[in-house]
Amino acid sequence: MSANKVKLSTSDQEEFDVDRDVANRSVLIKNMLEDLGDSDQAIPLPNVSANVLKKVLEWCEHHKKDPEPIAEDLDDNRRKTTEISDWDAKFIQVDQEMLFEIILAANYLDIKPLLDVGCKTVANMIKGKQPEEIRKLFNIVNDFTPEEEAQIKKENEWAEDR
Amino acid sequence: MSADEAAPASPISRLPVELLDAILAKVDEPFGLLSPAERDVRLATLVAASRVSRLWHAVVHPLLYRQVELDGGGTGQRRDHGALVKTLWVSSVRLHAFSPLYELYELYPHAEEVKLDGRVTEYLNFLVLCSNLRTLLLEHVQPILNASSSFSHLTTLSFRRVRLDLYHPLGRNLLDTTHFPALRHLALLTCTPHEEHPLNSPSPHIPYLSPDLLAQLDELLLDAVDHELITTAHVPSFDRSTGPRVAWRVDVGSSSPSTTLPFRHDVLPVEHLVVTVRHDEKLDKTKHRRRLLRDVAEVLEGTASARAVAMPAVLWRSAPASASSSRTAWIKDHISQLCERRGIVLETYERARLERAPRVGGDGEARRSGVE
Repeated sequence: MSANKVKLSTSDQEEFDVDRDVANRSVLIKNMLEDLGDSDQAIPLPNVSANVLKKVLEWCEHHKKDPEPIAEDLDDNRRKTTEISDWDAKFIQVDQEMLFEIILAANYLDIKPLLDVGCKTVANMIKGKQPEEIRKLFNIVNDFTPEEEAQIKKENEWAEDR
Repeated sequence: MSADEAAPASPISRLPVELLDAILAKVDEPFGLLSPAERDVRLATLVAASRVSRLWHAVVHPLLYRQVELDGGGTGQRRDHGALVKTLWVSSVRLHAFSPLYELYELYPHAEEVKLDGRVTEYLNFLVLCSNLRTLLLEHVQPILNASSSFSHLTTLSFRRVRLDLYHPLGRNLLDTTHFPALRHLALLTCTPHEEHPLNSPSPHIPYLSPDLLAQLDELLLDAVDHELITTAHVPSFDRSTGPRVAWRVDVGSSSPSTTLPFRHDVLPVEHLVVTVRHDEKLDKTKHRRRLLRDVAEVLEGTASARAVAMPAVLWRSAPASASSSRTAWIKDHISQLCERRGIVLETYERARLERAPRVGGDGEARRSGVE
């Protein structure tokens, strides 16, 4: 295996040969590579399936030259926004199953910018919707009792008074 | 823990709570980035999300009260949850009704950002008691502070549409490190000098910025809507040997240029020069356009002449649709040529993105490359 290549093994036993700079977008993989040193062994990713990893690697390939986010940026409220770049918006146009798998994988692999894209996408899906519309969109069951619902409605009256 | 154990088929239910929290936190964007309509959508969405399920309610509840805008209606519920409030904006309607305003620090003990907007003159010494206060935004408000007030944790202070003059109730020499020992970001936006202010006075009494405070700041934003303010904002006593710590962002072209700007030797390095062409028919005349260009050139030359100062990032803010396209194109073309001669990249920014543009720090190269 070339020093510039990394082997990744998915939960369904598929192996991927990936450029090191692409794999390094994942802080988890980057740290593992630093700990392991030069090794031909595949890095096991037991929480990521092949079809999801393929998609994640597509994102990493496109963003491999992006500068590392600095800690100050991550905490900077002035830059927090639900805007998504055109490429990312197109990339994330997937079904819900894949969308949430990407979010889980980005979280597990510690790829903060990809996690950010996923979270922003879901946030944008929620924006402006009524509770029933959100439940329907994500197939969520309303588990409030009627009393609880009345209580919450009362609790939120101030927001409707504005 | 799942989002909804009764519906295992739902993909969102597989997310751990912290990821659901991360998603819903994206809905809760900072007030400062949102228009009034967007703030309404934010609130309506959070309210709706809190009614989806028990889990969603638990996640959303703190977000609902994290940023609160008092602009009418009852405040009871928000007072009950005042301890959750980090950002508090009080608009003119409420400002008059807020009785008494000095209760703020008791009602919202953890508020980190307070914005007061109203045509009132207020004693603001009580804000010193808000021990978590980091950001204070004043719009229209004429603040009164006495010399004993010290905002020990305040890092951001913004005045917008405030009249600053010799007799300003903020008081002479209050903007110094004794009263604002932690201040890093200061903005004077659309502020106007007093009518009687002697424009040609060599004394830079607007604003009352002490040199030690300037050396402490990371960012000073001025808006040249009124060029006269810029004229009087120079600080000749500033010691440039402390380096270009202050990031000036100066809007040029927001009004018809009428004053020669004393940038060349008197002001601090400009880091972001924002060129905006609003709807201003005067700029249809070549004479006024050339004056605007001269102002831009003054800023660029003044910056380049300062010791150890890199070129500023020049940002072109997209002109509104109402602006004449030929006028805009002419000005942009000429400013491009100005920048090209100095090896500066002219970036184009939408207003919203500009507001979020990160402060450029580090060495000269970083400054030259502009804002990502």
